[in-house]
This record gives sequence, structure tokens and C-alpha cells, in this order.
Amino acid sequence: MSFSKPTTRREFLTNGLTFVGLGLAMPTVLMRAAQAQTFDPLAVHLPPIPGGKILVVIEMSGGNDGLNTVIPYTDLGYAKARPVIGLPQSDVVKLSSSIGLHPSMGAFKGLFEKGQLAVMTGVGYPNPNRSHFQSMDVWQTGSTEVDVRERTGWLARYFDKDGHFQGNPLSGITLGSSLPLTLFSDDVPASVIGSGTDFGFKSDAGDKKQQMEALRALYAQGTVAGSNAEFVRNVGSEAYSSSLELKKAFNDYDVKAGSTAKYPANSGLASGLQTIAKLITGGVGTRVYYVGLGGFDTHANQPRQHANLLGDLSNSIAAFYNDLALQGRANDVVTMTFSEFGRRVKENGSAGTDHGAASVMFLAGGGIKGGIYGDYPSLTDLDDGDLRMHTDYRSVYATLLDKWLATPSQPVLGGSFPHLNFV
Amino acid sequence: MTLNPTDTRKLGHLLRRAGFGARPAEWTEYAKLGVAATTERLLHPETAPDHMDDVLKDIQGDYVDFDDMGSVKKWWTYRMSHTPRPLEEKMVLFWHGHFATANYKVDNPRWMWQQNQTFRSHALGNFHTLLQAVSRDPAMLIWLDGADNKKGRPNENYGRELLELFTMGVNSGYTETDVKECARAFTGWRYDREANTFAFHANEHDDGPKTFLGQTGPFNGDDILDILVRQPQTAQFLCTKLFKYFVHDTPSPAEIAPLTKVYFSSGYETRAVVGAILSSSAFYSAAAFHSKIKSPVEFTVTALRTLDAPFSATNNTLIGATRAMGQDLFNPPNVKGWPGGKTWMNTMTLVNRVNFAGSIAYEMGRRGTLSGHLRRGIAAYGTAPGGLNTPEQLVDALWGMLLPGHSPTPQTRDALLGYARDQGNPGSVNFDAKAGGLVSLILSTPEYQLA
Repeated sequence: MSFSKPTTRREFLTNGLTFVGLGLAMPTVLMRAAQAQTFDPLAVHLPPIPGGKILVVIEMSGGNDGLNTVIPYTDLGYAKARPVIGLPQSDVVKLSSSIGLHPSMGAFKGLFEKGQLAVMTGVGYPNPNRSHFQSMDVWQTGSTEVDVRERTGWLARYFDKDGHFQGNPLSGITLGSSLPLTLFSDDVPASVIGSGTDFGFKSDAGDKKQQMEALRALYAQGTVAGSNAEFVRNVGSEAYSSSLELKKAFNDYDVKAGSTAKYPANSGLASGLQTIAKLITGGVGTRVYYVGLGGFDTHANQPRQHANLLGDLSNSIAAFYNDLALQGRANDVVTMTFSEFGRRVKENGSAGTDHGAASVMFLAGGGIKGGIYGDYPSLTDLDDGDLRMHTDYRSVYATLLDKWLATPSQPVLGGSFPHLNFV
Repeated sequence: MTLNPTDTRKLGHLLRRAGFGARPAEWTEYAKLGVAATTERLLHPETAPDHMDDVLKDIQGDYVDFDDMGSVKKWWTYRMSHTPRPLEEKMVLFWHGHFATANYKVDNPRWMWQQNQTFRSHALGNFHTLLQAVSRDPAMLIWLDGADNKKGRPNENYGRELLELFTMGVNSGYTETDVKECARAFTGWRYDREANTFAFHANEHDDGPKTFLGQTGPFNGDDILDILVRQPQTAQFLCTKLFKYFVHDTPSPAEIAPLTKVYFSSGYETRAVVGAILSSSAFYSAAAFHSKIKSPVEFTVTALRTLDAPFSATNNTLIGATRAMGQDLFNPPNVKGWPGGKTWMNTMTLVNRVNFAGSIAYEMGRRGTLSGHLRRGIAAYGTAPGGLNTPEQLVDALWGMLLPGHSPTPQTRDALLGYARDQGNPGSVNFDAKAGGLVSLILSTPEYQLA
């Protein structure tokens, strides 16, 4: 799938907002339910989330062109393969004498110089798959064997296998309107909160207290025939309890830090990351956050689309860490970006690129050991036109599980993968 | 006319699955026909009138602007809410999810509407003909880069998704080479922007020999479709998807096998396959009843129809509401469509369903039309034989209308009774004071989320 060049900023924003909190206004006829008072008869006590480091995952959907993101700018093969869409050496944001970033990613230079940005090259998996859905499944399930019937996400399994997470649905939070496969399992303690600020049951009725009480009774834990009905019931109980927690965190946010951080305006990703910052600093205790940025499937007219997306990505992440640093939390949060595959080395005839294989990942945060990881894959010794991987993506996951989230990676990934040194 | 409980259950199930529930007047009509004759009627939408377009020229005082996506969305949801051809619209929704095309890339509401009309023309028609029409559809050509697919510079997008998602299904035996050869066959398939139609550019077409699924020839796109429609994998993939759409999410091979036979023996007629599904024992099995989580469109439109609510009762919020529930019509998240099932249900989407239910009941109450609609509905469904004087009678009457043939759990019934009872006088109930709130609550129950 690809995008023709967006002709207006609004189109671009609409494309970029595929995943991130839609923040849709509910009809004005609906009023919010009574704000949480000192005693709220509807609140269900949520068990505490175990403390520890926080992981923020940014999914770049569509297949990010790693070769134009992290650029081996002195390699003669680069300009040769990309006469139209290649970035000129003079424009590249240089990180070393041979590797640089796309010109629109200047915001990452500061993080890199502070040693808080790890740039992973050549990341992929054996026998790469070039189908969006199959490859995204591979990344999200943390497995190269895809089971169509019962699929669970690697971070959902993290919650399950860790053994300390006991049914607090805010253990994992997704911004947007649907739970990604990464966080999906039947029983995962994770919530989907839209943009966050509009989350909660509402009623405009005259007897809304009685209605709310009846709703709570309908959704209170209990047995009900049929697995799908039970599933819905569980979702409802969680919704109640969660909304109260979120409201409190938003009320407690340090607005001054937020404006100093300089989040880009009109960016769904920036709004999402700022919401995450509010929840982190508000002490909700969530350990995994998930947010998406779409539009990377650049089969045609790649230059402007890709530049806009990478600018959004780097500006938003940089602002997020400014915000966290001001509130003393930057060392507690690692942000990881990933995409379902990279793209072919040789550009196509439409000023774009087709689906590829190995690509790049970014890991950012105060706890990161910054730098460029791995030699850039050869641009001539290719795997059927694509970059060869040298780092299995599950090594990145294993490193995060074992060394950042402090839980054994082997049961989650179904195997052992060598650690990397970024944390 | 009151059906016996078995037929009530079956008819309710049929109307929910093969449509979007029934308005009370329709229920009366279908109850007279009985389950079998109703099934036939649904399978032959051409026997029901369709003057929707005359009506739709003026929705709530606004003319439909086919160049505005919001207006086209309104056009379609209005159709679904009022159509006398529910199975046809249910199939349009199926094809929209199957050949999932999104305006966030196409950026042409009129073409998205045209595509929707193509799905409607072939809703229960011939699958082969539908494939030919979709391959020429301008919205599809933009969506999957048909226009960029040229001789010497093939763009594999359509070739890949045609095999992976529209016909044979992923991992069903085709190779990367087949994908490439398929792409070559469709080179030169373009659209004419002014005429809003398909245009074949012979000079951009690669007419060289190709080998596709073991066959060799100078294949053009139509030749590829001829080959694809004959493949057993295509039959398996399509029939399985249709079964999951109408029956439940876990079919056994034994349940799909007879459907693939019908697919071939009928010459790829969708009506024949759907007819076989709707009259199968699987369709009315215990595993099928109330087992599927309703999609957002099913949830909202079924609520409207059952309450006999006019489209205007949504105050133009229906589109935003289904989007907030995870289903933005004309904008599926990607070419795979909406995965459905449990993926519809998370804390955010459930909250939005509950809030939508409240807003409809509130709006109808505000207009003063709710009580009248509900009394008529209860009469049509015959769910208050003993009157509407006690909380129990009111709860059972409304529940029976909204979930015909499906009993509430004791916990659910108790919660509803708790709301309906007047503290001072527990043996009686004030219809006008409580009916609206009960409707809102019933629509919010876990049970109502299932079809």
C-alpha cells in the first residue's frame, strides 16, 4: 500500500493519525458523569501495578525505509541505487564519519550527543516476509512462526509470564482506538484509552446515578454463559476503574514542563507522547505504553511524505524526553521504534521504494547507552535486492525484557537471543 | 402475531445476522412469513422495493454531496438504517471489508461511493463478475497503485493483495514469482479521471508470456481472474470468510466443504453460497446463537432499527460514533479490512457503545417519541401479554423486543429490575419514567454486544 503525495497538510495529518489517539469529541448532548468525589460507589479497587522501568513502543506502520532514515552517506552504492530519492551528503544529519540521519531528523542530534539515542542497523529476521500483515505479525508476536488461530503479542506475554501483574488493566496502555497485536491476548491487563482525556462512561439522564449503579451491577465480575459475553463483561469492569485513575493523572500534570518541552503542534504522535508523559509523571504506574504513526508505505513519491514523518517522529520524541527530563523521569523510560520491514535498496520508477527486509530501530532514553550499533549492511551484497540483517529483532526484545523490564526473556520469546549493549 | 419461542429465536437470529435487526413493522411482516420464507425474501433483495435514492436526495434537509466523504457516509448509514433489502446492505458491508479500500489514500469520495455501488450491484451476484468489476474500479486502482503498474516497471501492490487477501488467501501455495507475474498481467489498467471510469492503456501493458500458478500464456488481468476464480483455495478462502461473517468464528472443515461445492456448482454465485449458509444446521446451532461480537456498524444500526428510531435521532453522530468504536466506514485501517471478533472490544470501544446507547435513548426521550415507539415495538414483538404494570413485565417486554428469543442471566435481570423498581412502590412501574433508561441499559449489556 502506498500514498500519493499529500497535497495538503491536513491530508498528511489524517494519514499520520491512523493509529494515534483520535480524540474524537463525543456529542455535546452527553455530559460527563459526576467527577470522582471523595467517595465513589462505582470504583472497583484495582490491584497495584508492580514498579519498575517503563517501555514506550512506537509502531511505524507501512514499512519504514531504513536506508533513507539512517544513511551510510559515504557509501558510493547509496547514490547509485537512489539517483532520485537519495539524500545529498551535505543535507544529512551526521552522526559519524560515515553514518547520518535523514535531514529532517535534526531533533535527534541532541539526544545522540547526550548519549541517549541508540541507532540499530541491520535489524530483521531470517527468511524475511514482505507482506505487511505477515511481517507485522512477526514483529508483534515476537515469533517468526505465525499461528493464525491463537495469536498473542510479545508484550502481552511479558505481562503474563512475568507473574507479578495481577489484573490491573492499566499495566499496559495503548493510545488510539484498538489494541495492537503486540499487546493482545485473552487476558492481558492492558487498556485502550483513545486520546485519554475523553475516556469514561457518561450519562445525561435525570436519574443518572441509578443508571450508573445499574451499569456497574451489569458489569460486576460474575459468571455468564459464553466466552465472548464473559470477555465483554471483563472489559466493562476494567473500563470503570481505569477512567478514574486516568482522570487523576491528567489533573496532576505539570503544565509548565509540558510547554517548555516544545511538543510539535498538530502532531498526533506528539499529543500521544505528551499524554504518556502525563500518565508517567502522574504516577499511574503503567509499565508499557504503545502508540502508532502510520504512512510509511512509500511505494510512490516518497521524499516529501517520508521527510514529514521522520520530522514528526524525531521532533516528538525529543520533546517527550525534554518533558520527562524536566520532571525527573527521563532515566526511567526507554522508547523503542520499529516497523514491519525496511524497503528495497534500489528505488522504483515512481520515486518510491517497494517492500524490503532488514531495517533500523531507534532506542531513546536516559538509561540508554547511545551510539550506532552494528556495521551498516552492505549495499551490494544483497538478499534478493534487500539489505541483509545482522541483528535479529528478538535480540532487541530480549535485551529489553532481561535488562530493562527485568523479566526473563526466554519464556516470552520461546527461545534465547543474544543481548545487545544499548541498555 | 406471536411466534412460538423456537421460531422467535430463529427469526431474531436470522434478522440480526442477515441484516441489522428489524423495525417492529418488519418483524410483524416477517413473523407472518415464517423463517424459511423470510430467508428466501432476504436472499432476493430485488423483490423488495428500493426507492431509497428518491428519499436519500434529502436527508434531514441536506442534499447528499457525493464529493464529500461525510455526506457519503451518511448516505450509506441512512440506507442501512432504512433499507427494505437488509441482506443486500449486509453484503455490501462484507465486500467493503473484503476489498478494503480507504479514502485516506484514495481521497475521492465520489469514487468511494462508486465502489460502494459496485459492491451493491454485485452484492449477491457472481463473484467472478465482481472481481472483474473491482479490478477496474477507479478507487481500487488508486488504492493499490494500479496506475503506477507499467510495462517494464511493475508495481506489485495489486498483484499481491489480489492473491493474498481477495482470492486465494495468504500462504495458500502461490509464490513470489506468481505475484510478480500477476502484477505484469495487470499493467496498463488505469483510470480516466474525467470520465470516472476504467481505461486500458495498451501501450503500458506487458503482453509478454507469463507463467502464473503453473499455466503459461500472454495473460491479461482478466485471464488471471479466470484462473484465480477456479482455484480451490479461492473457494475455501471466500467460503470460510462468509461463514465467519454469518455464523461464528471457528468453522470446522466439515462445515466449509459443502459451501465450496456450492461455490463451484453454482458457477461462483454468492447468493447460492450465502443461501447454503443461512439454511445450514451450523447457522442455527448453539455455537452460533449470540456468539459473535457485533461490529460497531451492526451495533448502532441494529439499535436504531429495533427501536424504530429515525436516522435523525442520532443527531449526525452515528459516523463519529462508529469510528470511535473502531469502524470508520470508507476508511478501514488497511487493505486487510477490519479483523473483527474480539478486536472490536476494548475499554475504549465499549465505553463508546455504552455512551451511544445512552445518547439515542436520551434524544428520543427528549423529543417525546420514545414511549410511543417502545409501546408499538412491544406490541409488534408481542412481549407484554400480561400488560406493562410491574417492573418485571416492563423489563421482560423491553428485553424480549431488543433480544428476541434470548433470556437474560439472573444477574442481568436483577440489575435491570433494580433500576426499574420505584423504591417507594416496588410492585409498580412508571413506564414513561423508566422505559428510556431501561432501553439504554439493555443496549449497554454484555449480552447486547453480541449478535
